[in-house]
Amino acid sequence: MAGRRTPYEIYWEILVYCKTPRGFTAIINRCDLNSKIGQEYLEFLVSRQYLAVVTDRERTSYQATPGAAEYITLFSSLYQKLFDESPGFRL
Amino acid sequence: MTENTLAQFKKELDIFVIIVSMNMAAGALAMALAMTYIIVSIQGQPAWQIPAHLRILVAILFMIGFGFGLNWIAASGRILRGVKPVRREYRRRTGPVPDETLTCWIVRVLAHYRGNRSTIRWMVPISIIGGSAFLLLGISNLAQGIFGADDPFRWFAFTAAAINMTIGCASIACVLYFRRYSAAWDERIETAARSEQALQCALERR
Repeated sequence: MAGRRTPYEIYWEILVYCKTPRGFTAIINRCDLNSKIGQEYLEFLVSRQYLAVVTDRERTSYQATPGAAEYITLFSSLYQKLFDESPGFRL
Repeated sequence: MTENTLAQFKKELDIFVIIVSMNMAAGALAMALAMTYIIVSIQGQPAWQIPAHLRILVAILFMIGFGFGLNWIAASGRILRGVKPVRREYRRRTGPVPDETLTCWIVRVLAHYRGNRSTIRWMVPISIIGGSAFLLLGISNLAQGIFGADDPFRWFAFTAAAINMTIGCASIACVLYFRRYSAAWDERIETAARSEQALQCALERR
C-alpha cells in the first residue's frame, strides 16, 4: 500500500494480514515497510500481545491473537464512519 | 453500515476520477493550443501583425504555458494512479464486500490523499489562474472577431474564442469540484486524526 499512512493504519494492516501466520519478509513486503521499521512495528504488537510469535521448526512467523480483533473492529468502525458522517461529494 | 458506506465511497471515487480526467483533458487542450500559438507567433502569420521581438516574447509565454500543461497532466496522472487501482478492484468485485476490504480501500485512498494533499491544493489556485487566463484570451478573441469587421481572419478569432472560453470554463468548473473534494477529504483526515486517540487507548490498554 503506497501513500502516507499513519502508524495506526500500519498496525491495522499488519494485524489483518497476520490473521493467518505470516513470515517477517511476507509482512514487510505486503505492508511496504523497510526491515528496520517493520521490526519495530512487529516488536510493539508482540509486546502488546496483539501478535504471537509462532515457531515451527526453524521458521518464525507471526499470528494475530484474539485480542487483535478488538483493535481491528474499532479501526474499521472509525474509518467507515468517515464516510457516514463527513459531507458527501456531489457534482 | 457497510452498504451505505460502500455506496458513498464508490460514488465519490467515480466522480473524482471524472474530475481528474476532465482536468487532464483541459491540460491536453491547453498544451495543444499553446503549441498552435507558438507556431503561429514564430512563423509570424498575417493575423499576427506585431513586431518580431514581441512575437518571440509571446512564443516564450506560450512555451511556459505548454510546460504548465505538461506538468498539469503529469500531476493529474499521479493523482489518478493512486485512485484507479482501488476503483478497478471494486468494479471487478461481484459479491458482497467484506468490512475489511472496504476499510482497506478507505485506508489506501486516505493515504494517497495525504501523500498528494499539497498537489491537490496547488491545483486549485493554478487552475483559477489558468482558467482566468483562457477566459481573458477568449474574450479578447471574441472582441477581435466582433470589432475586426475588415479582418479576413475574423472567423478564426471566433473559433479561438470558443476554444479558449471552453477551456477556461472547464478549468474553473474543475476548481469548484476539486475544492469540494479537498474540503471533504481534509475533514476526513482531521476526523481520522481525532480517532487516533481512541486507537492509541485501545493499543495501550493491553
